[in-house]
Amino acid sequence: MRIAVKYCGNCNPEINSPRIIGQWMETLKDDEITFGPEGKTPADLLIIICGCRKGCVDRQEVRAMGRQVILIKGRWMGGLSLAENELGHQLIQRVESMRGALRRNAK
Amino acid sequence: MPMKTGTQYIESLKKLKPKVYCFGEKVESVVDYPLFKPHIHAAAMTYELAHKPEFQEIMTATSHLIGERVNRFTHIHQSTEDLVKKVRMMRLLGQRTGTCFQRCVGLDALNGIYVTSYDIDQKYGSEYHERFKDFLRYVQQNDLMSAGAMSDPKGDRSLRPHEQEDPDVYLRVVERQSDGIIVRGAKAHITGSINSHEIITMPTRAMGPEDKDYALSFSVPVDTEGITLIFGRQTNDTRRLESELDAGNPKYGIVGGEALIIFNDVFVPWERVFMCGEHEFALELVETFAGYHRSNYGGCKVGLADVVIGASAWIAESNGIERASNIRNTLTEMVNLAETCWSCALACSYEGYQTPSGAYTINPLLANVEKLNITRFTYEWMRLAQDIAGGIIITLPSERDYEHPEIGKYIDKYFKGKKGFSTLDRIRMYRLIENMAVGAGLPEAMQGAGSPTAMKIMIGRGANIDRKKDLAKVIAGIDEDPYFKGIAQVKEDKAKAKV
Ligand SMILES: Cc1cc2nc3c(=O)[nH]c(=O)nc-3n(C[C@H](O)[C@H](O)[C@H](O)COP(=O)(O)OP(=O)(O)OC[C@H]3O[C@@H](n4cnc5c(N)ncnc54)[C@H](O)[C@@H]3O)c2cc1C
Ligand code: SF4
Repeated sequence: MRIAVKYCGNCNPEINSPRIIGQWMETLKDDEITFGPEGKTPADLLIIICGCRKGCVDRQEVRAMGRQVILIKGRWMGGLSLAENELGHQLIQRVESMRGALRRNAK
Repeated sequence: MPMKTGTQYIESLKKLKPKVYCFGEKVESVVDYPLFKPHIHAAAMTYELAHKPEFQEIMTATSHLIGERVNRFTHIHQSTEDLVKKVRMMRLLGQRTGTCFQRCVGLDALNGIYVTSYDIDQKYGSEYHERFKDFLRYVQQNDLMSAGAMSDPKGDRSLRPHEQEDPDVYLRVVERQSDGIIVRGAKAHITGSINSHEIITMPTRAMGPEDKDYALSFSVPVDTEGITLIFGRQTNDTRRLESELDAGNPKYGIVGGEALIIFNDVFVPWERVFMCGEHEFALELVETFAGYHRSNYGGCKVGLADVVIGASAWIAESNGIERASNIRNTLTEMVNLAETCWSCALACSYEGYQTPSGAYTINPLLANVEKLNITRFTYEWMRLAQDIAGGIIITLPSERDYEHPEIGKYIDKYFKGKKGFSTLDRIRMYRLIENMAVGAGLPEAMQGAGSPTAMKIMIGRGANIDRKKDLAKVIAGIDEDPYFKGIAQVKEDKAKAKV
């Protein structure tokens, strides 16, 4: 799967985004990961990870970089407020469930 | 266009018959009662300016519910740009009234309940949010002014609502019926309530399961059966009954005109109930409302600062000292303090974000920093205004003495300043500074939207001290510095940066 990760810039984040992404990446096997190059063909999945709820990088043209999008804004993910140490785990689960959905669609 | 003008607003108040008491007497007509007139004028300004093309961009917005242009005081913020325009509107109105124009509390209540009722429904599948949207459409279509009633009398502050000796010191539900609820209790210090159309209530603190009867939010017309309002006093309030000059700001008054609102077994139909028993959402509503409300102060109070800085500069000029370095320094310091608060107001708005309800809210950390600064800086710029103005602001003889055929000439002669400035104008300006810098406006800046402790709690919660410790550990060489390796081309050992 081609997965793109887009960081917000992390000026004053309330979470450690690289740590969360690192934790998730340890679970991957043969996915192709890119870090937010714009203008290419959309990735299968885009993870937008913002350091706080402001979510500076959650913009239309950024969302267009992925066919499916997972959005993290500070401790907020999928409409839920989570503890920071739950975010990595939640991200792993969401990516896997999207992977499953993509496989099913491909069939 | 569903927007009232200033006079249409005043006319609309005449149709209401709220039960209001002031100075021990029942007020027959709110709009005709002389003590209330300046407050009503200040609120009317929020209506009037919405019709002026030069202010339209700030004073109005397009409703996401009814699709029409509405007064921004009834609008749900749809973007950070809306949040920014809201604080710009606050500054503008502070400048144009020199006092509290009252209508922002209701605006913040509308937005706070919009956000929280959505979250309650997500958890419980209830209908609060849809009910609230119906109410909001009604508010927008009729351009209503709503009082935002959060503060309960609170009795013993160390006890929770259900622990109080008198169970009514926090507003509560006493009966649930098929068509609505019966509520009893009171709300204290409620700004603009006597001249509002609606009273919107919200809980004032976090609540536990035993407090569920107090976890309550609803709206009722101000003249609903069972509601009594007792108007509060302000410094020098009766001067406006005696004369124009001595009042200082005779057109718009001082602070917002606050009242104690008593709810004596008031019936509220379910369509107007937006929270009833969901105690775990009480804190969310308090914090969301308070966040919006605290973000206003760097707008409205800075608008007031603009007026008082102007008054101080004018007085200095009329005293012939406008070029003196101490005066210029003092004025610069006042501007610096005011613009610092303004920067906070803009910052917390630009740094706002979207809530699950779709409405935008401010950055809570920055809004609380803003309001904490207001509790200090307002005192400081008003102190500096007192410094520039001199002792005369509290020793000036009365208007009646000034008008007196025999002694008036002495006041005119001895309180003259530099050539070209009339004594009468100087008296007006001194009285304005007295009104703004000596009276009730100061504790309003301190306590309005919560005491400084409330802000410090929120600042502490948003401060993320742990992250700051992590940053310090990296710089001190205790923890690995992931970026240093690349810069210095050194191999860091696992933990430390070896230079
Ligand atoms: C001019 C003006 C306009 C206002 N307008 C409105 C309005 O429109 N709507 C509205 O809802 N409210 C309004 N308020 C109320 C305002 O929000 C309150 O004044 C403020 O929250 C403080 O509450 P209080 O006045 O009851 O003071 P108190 O609660 O008596 O607080 C006094 C002091 O005690 C401290 N304290 C209180 N409880 C505790 C505790 N448990 N432990 C430790 N310390 C404690 C506080 O931090 C503070 O320092 C207005 C107030 C003013 C002055
Ligand atoms: S999302 Fe937050 S942390 Fe990230 S760049 Fe924007 S403001 Fe900074």
